[in-house]
Amino acid sequence: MNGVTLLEVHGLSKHYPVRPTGWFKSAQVLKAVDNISFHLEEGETLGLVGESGSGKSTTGRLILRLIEPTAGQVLYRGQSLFDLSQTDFKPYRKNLQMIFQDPAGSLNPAYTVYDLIAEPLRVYDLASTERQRRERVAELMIQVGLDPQMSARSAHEFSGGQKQRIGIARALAVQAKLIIADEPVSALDVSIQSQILNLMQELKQRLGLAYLFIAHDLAVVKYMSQRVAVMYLGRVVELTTSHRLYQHPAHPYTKMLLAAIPHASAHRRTAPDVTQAQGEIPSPIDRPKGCAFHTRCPYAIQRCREEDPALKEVAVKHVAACHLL
Amino acid sequence: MTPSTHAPLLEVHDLHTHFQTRRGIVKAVDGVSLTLHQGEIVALLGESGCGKSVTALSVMGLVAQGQGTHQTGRVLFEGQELLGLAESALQRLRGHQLSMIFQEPLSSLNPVMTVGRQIAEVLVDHGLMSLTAARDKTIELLGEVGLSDAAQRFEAYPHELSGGMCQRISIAMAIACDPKLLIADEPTTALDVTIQKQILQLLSGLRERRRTSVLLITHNLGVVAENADRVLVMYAGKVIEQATVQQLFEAPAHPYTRGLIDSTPHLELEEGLLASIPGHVPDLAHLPIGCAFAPRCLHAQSRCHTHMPDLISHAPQRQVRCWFPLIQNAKAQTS
Repeated sequence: MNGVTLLEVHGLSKHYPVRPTGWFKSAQVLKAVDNISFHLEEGETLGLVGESGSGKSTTGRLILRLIEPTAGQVLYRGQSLFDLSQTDFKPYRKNLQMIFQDPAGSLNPAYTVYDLIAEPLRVYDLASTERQRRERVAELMIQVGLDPQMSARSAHEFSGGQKQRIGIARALAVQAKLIIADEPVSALDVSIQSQILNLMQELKQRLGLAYLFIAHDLAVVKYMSQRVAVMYLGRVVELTTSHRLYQHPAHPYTKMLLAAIPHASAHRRTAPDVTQAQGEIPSPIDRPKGCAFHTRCPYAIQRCREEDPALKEVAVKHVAACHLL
Repeated sequence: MTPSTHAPLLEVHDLHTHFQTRRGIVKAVDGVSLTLHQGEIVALLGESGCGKSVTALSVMGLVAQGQGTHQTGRVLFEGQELLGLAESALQRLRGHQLSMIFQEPLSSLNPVMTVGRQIAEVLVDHGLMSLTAARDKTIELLGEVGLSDAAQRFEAYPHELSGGMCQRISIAMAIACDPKLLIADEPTTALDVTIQKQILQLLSGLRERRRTSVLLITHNLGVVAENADRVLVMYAGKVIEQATVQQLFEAPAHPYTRGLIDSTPHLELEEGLLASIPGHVPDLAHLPIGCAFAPRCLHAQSRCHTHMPDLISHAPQRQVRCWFPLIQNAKAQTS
């Protein structure tokens, strides 16, 4: 982190029209992402957590223009990405790469590892000769902990962890500055998860990468991130440093998430009853009126059912959206 | 909870389930023994491919019997041998005395039948009651598993419900006949943490209210720590450590268990690198000679690469399969 802003997200929204379910019903809108803003500095990792359906993956895809936004702006080093034509966007897209949850589903099984890693080099014309390309692929494979001698094998011959390494090598091939990692370890075994997390940490140190780290596992997010944004039903409800979020969570939803994590230790905790997990995330089509979390919140008062809370500063570098703060 | 002095509800002795494949014989379950007492929650912990699910399927008699399957050992449920039991006899037991819930709640339910009907069917099929009585019992069960508006939910189809609700339906179906043993295979892996907590609370509530025994199969150490009484850690088809939950997390004896605990990120972890286990789980068709974990083990010595250690008792309820276990002053006694 050097204080230089790499990415700014302003008022980003993605709304999907939903076909009415009956003749006399009016069309509804599903607000997958609803007016969210945050920024990311060079070399920083921002964690994005929330339950399924909170809009965290949609946010990642919107930034990369994999889906069209309904409203909002994304600035990469001050340049608005949504204003660019596809051709003008391409050089920016090189700096912004993505790795996915299911490494098997995101790699062509018929390709060899060499083809997979050389593909981005070819697309962006980053190696002028065949020999250069071979050297670069071997270098990338070593960087992510794969044996370059395996480059002729096809992707399906590799284990889940190794496939994720290939995915990371593809993102590194184009010398990305920001990697959007969407649940990169949740499909992997416990002993392999830490290998991939450590590899990502090491690459970040070495190459000065920034990550937008999307995950549902708060312990993993804490380990990876400097700052964390908590999302609920398409909105950011709390954003602060990783340390503060876990030491002094402000939003009742964050407290509930923290209390729900099972602890792998011999000493069983007894979480205070008020933050016990209850209820389920409502459908984003029927977003509850007022604060969307009031249906599950143990502290909800009348005002929460009527008025939508805005994000406000609760401490230095710590914002949360709750009427009770 | 201390295991009762009564005869165990489930005893598995030296269970082997091997599959003949084109790549060779896969020893998915390779000599597993375990006991489960009434009202106990025992966890089978391990990563994918360690044989924990096949162990469960073998106990339930759900491993497809064909030319390529080879099963030996004993599975005693209340003293009755289940292995080799006729399918009709097994069907009377399954869903009645022992039942199972799966990882994917949506795919283990029939998509074209209302959830209420599916639960009622279990009661009717086991000859316990008429369809009318089963309907009332089902609504009562839906309430017990924590679904609001139980009467309305009766008429719902699985696709109309969330993953967490579908898992509650599977549990309602599994406990409909008040089984003595419930096998839960990764019951919360597909669910959010907040829902996971609720489902696990539901399972431990069942144990309290009905004295149901639970064999909890999971890869999640936190789930084991907070819910089980005892735990068996599996690796490459074998049990490599058995302990009470307290013993396991206070002083893991097998280097693999230690590695799993150390490589799990937790909230107290401050800066610094996470420990990790090098390499990956071996191919079950081509296991190394000696200890299957030796190629990844930091403590491995030459003996580990040539000879497979036995599962040795170090203390009551404490067994380790390792030539150089990590518990100090362990006075090994042959079991």
